[in-house]
Amino acid sequence: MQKRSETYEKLVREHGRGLYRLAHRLCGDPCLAEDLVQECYLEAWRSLPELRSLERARAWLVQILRHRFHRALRARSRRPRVQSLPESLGWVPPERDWALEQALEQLEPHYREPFLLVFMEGYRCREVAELLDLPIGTVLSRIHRARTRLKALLTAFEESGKLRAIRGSSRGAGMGRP
Amino acid sequence: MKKHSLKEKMELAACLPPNDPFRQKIERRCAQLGGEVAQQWLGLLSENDQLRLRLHHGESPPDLERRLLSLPRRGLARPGRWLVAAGVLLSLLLGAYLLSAYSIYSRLQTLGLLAVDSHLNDRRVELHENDPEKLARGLDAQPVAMFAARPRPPRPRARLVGGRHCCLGLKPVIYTLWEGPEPISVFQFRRQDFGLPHFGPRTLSIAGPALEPDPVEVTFWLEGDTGYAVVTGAYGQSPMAVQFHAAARGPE
Repeated sequence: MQKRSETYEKLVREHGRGLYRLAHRLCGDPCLAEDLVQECYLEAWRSLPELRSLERARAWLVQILRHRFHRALRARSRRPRVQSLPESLGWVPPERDWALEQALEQLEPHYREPFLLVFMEGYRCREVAELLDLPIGTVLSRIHRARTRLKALLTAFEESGKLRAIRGSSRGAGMGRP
Repeated sequence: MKKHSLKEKMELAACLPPNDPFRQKIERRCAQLGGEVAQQWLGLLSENDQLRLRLHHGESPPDLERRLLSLPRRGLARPGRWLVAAGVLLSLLLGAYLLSAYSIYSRLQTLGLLAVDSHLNDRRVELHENDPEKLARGLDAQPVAMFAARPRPPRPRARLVGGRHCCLGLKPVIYTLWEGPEPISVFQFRRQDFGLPHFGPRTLSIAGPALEPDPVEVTFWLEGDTGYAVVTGAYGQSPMAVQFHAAARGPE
């Protein structure tokens, strides 16, 4: 039990923040990301005896996180979307990159996922292909398509006055944030 | 990838981690071509680095680690859905079992009261016979098949006195009396007549002011669909019953 707790603590310290960042970019919602990471670690604690080596821990945690993320996606598709307002809760996230968040949200999950794993997390394409159970060619083409689309979306969002209006109103409505 | 232009290959390669063989290959190719291509390659890398920075930007909640570390304690304290479902199912099963056990108990209690009353007040036999087989032949009549069961718990010195047809409540039973040395009453009945499900042998203590000072024990068991109730004890007939019988018989 002692060893299990130590291993668990190590997993939290080494991968907790990174997983949160990935979850945030995957789902685009800081609160949901926090929930996903908590569920992921709870599952990890329960299944810790199944983890063969610590070297595989990151891939293992990402795999759990993906399952949780897809479950959340399915749940979200079954009920109406409610925009979370993290400012109303205790923790106020730092200023959000709305353009990036909007652009990522426009990207379909099957493009977003391999792209983030390779581009942001530094996974090798072969690893991602194994993780997502896809041919490597598909992974490569999805990454390329995701990058091209993201670039176009980012440009569009940044240039549109609509986004500036959203940003302005959200700052105005913030809880005393500059 | 052969069909794709170099530009597309460069865009893809620039997204991959530096140790990726495909990126290294394209990087070498760009270096060989030099000039504008090399510039484009550097531009792509720079653009991607900026995007990576943006993606990594954004702090995680300050107490995230603390909360994650406390999860095992909280997670184990909170039962999972399956555990809750199992608990509910177990409670339902236990409830059903208790209800069924109470139902059996309540019916046996009624039957026991009738058997005790009969044992205390009416130990007459119509057919005197010491041989169980002969008695069985003598009393064998529907609806209760007679095969003169020996009392339980077994009493080696018990001797059959005789038996008769009678009723407990409104249901027909066969009564046999044994002496051994205390009187032993055995009541044979059909399980369904008393609404009894299948049950294992059990002994009930029938108590109450009417039976003071001591409670009377009745042992029940089933053999197929035939039930047995055995009451033992050298209880005398109650004064009321004696009076009643005397009144019914009239002055002799």
